[in-house]
Amino acid sequence: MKKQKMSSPNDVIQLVKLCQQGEKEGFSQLVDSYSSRLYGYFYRLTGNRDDSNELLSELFLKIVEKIGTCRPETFNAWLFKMASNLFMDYIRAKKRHEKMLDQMVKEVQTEIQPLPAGDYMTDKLTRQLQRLDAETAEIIVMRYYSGLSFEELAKIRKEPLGTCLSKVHRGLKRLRQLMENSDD
Amino acid sequence: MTEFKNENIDELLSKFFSPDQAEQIKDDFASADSFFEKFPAPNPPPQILAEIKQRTAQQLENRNRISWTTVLAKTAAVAAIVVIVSAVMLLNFSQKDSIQYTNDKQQTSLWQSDTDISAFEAEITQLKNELLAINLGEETGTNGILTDRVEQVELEIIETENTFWKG
Repeated sequence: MKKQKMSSPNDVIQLVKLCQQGEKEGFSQLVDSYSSRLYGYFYRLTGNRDDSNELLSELFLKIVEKIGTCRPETFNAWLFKMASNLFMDYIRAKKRHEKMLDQMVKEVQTEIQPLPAGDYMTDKLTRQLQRLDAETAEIIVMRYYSGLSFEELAKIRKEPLGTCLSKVHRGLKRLRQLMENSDD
Repeated sequence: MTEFKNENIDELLSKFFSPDQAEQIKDDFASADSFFEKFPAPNPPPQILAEIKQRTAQQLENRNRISWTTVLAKTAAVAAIVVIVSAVMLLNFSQKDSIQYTNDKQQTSLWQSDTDISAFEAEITQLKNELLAINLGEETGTNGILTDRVEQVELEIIETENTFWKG
C-alpha cells in the first residue's frame, strides 16, 4: 500500500477547524489526505472495489454532516470509528442480503464468486483477511490504516487495552498462518 | 505495524506479556507489515474522488442553505406564535368587558323591576289590611258607606293585581 503521508497533528487540527467552518476547500483537502487510507481500509475488509467506492463516498458525506460534533484533537479516532460503524452496517446488510438470496434461490449462491477475477490475482492478503472473522479482520486493518495507537483503538472499541492487544495478536498469528499456507 | 504509531510498543507489550511472548508478537507484527507492503491495496479511482468532492461541496451548500432557511422558518414561527397569542389575549379581554357590561345592564333592570314589585306589594298589603279591618268591624258606621268602601277597596285590589301582572 502506498500510504498517504500522515499529516502532523497540528495540520490535522487546522484542517478539521477549516471544515467545521464549512469551507469547501477544507473538505477537498480532507478527501486528498485521507481517501487512500480509508479506501484501503474498506477494500481490505470488503474485498470489493465497488463496495469500497460506495462506502468511501458515504463516509465523506457523513463527515460533512457530523464534522461539527468532532473534537479536532481526536479526529483520526473519530474518523475511523465512523468508518468502522459504516463497515459494520455493510456487514449486516450483506448478511441480510445473503440470507434472502439463500432463501430465494439456493443454487444461485454457488455461482457467486466472492471477488472479481482481477482482484483474485492481485489481492491474496484481502482474501486471507476475509477468512478471519469480521471483528478480528477489522481490528487488524484499522490498526494498520488508521495510524491509531493500541490505546486509542481500545478506546474506540470500548474494551481494555490488554484485550485489544490480545485480539490483534491472535488475529495476526492466524493471518500469518493463512498467508504462509496459502497456495496462491 | 509499528512504524507510524506514536507509542512505545516494547513497553506496551512488556506490561501484558512475558518477554518471550512479546518477542513473538513483535515478530507477528513485522510479518503483518511485510504482507501489507507486499500486497498493496489499490488507490481509489480519481473519478470517484472527484465525485466525492463534488457531492460533499453540494451537501455543504445544501446544509448552509438549509440552515438559513431554518433560521427564517424559526423566526417566522416565533412571530406567528406571538401574533396568535396577542390576538387570543385581546379577544379574551374584549369578551370580558362585554360580559361585564351585559351583567351591569341585567342588574340595573332587575333592580328597577324589584322597585316596581315592592311598590305594588306594599299597596296590596295596605289594601289587604284595610279589608281585614273592615271585615273585623273595626270601622263602624252606616252599612251603606261601609259597603261602598269595601267594594271600592276590592275594586282597587283587583285593579292593582291586574296592573301588577300586566307588568
